[in-house]
Amino acid sequence: MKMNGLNFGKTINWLAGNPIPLIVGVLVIVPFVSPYKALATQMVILGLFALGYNMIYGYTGLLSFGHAAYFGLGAYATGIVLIRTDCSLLTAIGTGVFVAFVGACIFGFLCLRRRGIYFALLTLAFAQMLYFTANVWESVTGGETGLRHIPHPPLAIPGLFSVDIYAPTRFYFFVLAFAVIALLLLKRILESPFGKALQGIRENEKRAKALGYNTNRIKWLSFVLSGIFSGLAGALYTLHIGFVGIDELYWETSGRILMMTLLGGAGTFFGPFIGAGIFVYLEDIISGFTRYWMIVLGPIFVLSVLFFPQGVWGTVRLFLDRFKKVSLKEG
Amino acid sequence: MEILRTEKVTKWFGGLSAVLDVDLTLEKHEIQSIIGPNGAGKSTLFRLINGEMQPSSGNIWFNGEYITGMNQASVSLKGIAMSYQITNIFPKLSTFENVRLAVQSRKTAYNLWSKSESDVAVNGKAGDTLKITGLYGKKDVLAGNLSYGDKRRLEIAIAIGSKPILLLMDEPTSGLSPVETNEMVALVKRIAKGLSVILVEHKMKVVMDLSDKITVLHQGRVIARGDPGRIREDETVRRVYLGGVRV
Repeated sequence: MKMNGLNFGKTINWLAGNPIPLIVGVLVIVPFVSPYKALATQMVILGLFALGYNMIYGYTGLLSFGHAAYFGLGAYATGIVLIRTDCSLLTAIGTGVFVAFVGACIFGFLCLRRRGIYFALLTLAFAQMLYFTANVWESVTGGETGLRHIPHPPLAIPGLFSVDIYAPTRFYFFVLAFAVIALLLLKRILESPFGKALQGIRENEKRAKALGYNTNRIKWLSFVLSGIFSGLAGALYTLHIGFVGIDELYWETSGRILMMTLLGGAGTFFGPFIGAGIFVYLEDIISGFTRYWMIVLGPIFVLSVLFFPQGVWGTVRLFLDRFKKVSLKEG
Repeated sequence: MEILRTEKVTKWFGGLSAVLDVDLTLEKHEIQSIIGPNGAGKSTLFRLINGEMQPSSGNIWFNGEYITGMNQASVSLKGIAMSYQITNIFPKLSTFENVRLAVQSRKTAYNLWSKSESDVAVNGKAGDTLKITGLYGKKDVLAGNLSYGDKRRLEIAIAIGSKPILLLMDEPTSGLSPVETNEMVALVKRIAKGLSVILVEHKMKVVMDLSDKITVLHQGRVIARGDPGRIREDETVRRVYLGGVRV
């Protein structure tokens, strides 16, 4: 029995350190247990957005209140390219990511001139600037009505293959492939010397600077990477709903991604992904009963932040750590 | 060989001079103490040397290079590290990770791909630094959960983890009990081999025990300098700082 306990403990420890196989396993099953497939897709896309956001907020400790900007830039750029050109699907997604990258480079550079609440307000201000720009620049963005009738080109490499990916299950796995690549990349980045430096800056920027880290440049790079992943999520979102709405650039999107991240556990690797999943799922269920779904979701959020400040995943991790200690003692 | 030289270094805060025309030289492998009453400008002088603040006027050379005007990160990369009076650690990272970050700081921070867990050289050096400072047994403890005495050791471990040539120590024994103070003095002696050290300290016994040379600051100016024996006998120093008491 004790041996078993130890082995089980070891397995759990290993999984806590290498959660990706387990996560992917679960994500493969999700669309088949979710009420409908598009909901599962929505969870994964916002999960990807939350992972990107977590890099700047959870790991670098910078509260951005304007990540709608990069999600929206990715979404709009992809939509505009699909409507106005004959570009392939992957080029359109690539353009979305690139535009988000450029936006994050510029806004990040400017916002990082200030710290704390001033930084947060600058990120908000820049995102709102984009929102109003999209609102008035109707000829390009469609203004208040957004971008409609976005074509659905097949996933193709000319001369090699061409697949229609828009059947719900297929599209889910198409999105999941991007999410898995993003998960692997992010894990790698966060375990690299750069990732460790981010955490040092989050914990004590002054000391990091005193140790010779160019903290401004490192924070900028983190901001840009975070913007790239957010842009990818935005691009996929456009393909998912076949429409780009002005709301995607609105500050509510920034607030929502922050809530998802906190709910799942900021600064834990996988927490934000789970937080996004729970948030999207609850939103869907509750809005089936009432228009005022926020009245239900709001208190859930408040209670979880008050009583589980580590978030869902952070709390599970704490529990696992305790379990680990007990099982090691028994062994 | 001269490792550090300051020439007429001055820092004004409004109409107040925190540091005024300070000339200082430090030989290689020397331990020099800076003493003086509160507000004498000791900590400000440290911040001018390590690039955290820029002097209003004056020049600083380190290891043959002109470093006046360089920012803190660049000065650190030249080889000046500082341990702080108020413990300045990464509280939510493990003790090991605290020191690892210091060791890692000598390499590029823009490596996004290699696994830091498998960098044998960096991790080995971090482990050695923890052993020297007596913290190896607590390497997995979150730094914020260490005892006060251990946090003070970690403070030193972080500073020497970046392999400095010159170490600025701002009151390493601050807040420590007499027993812990003795341990800290022993630790400073151990790590000072092969290093040049400037020490700011209030405990006279520690200063007399460790220093090759002492510089006395008063109201931002140097009022005396010399070996411990000379400073002990110096009338001006006794009047302004030691309160007329013999030490």
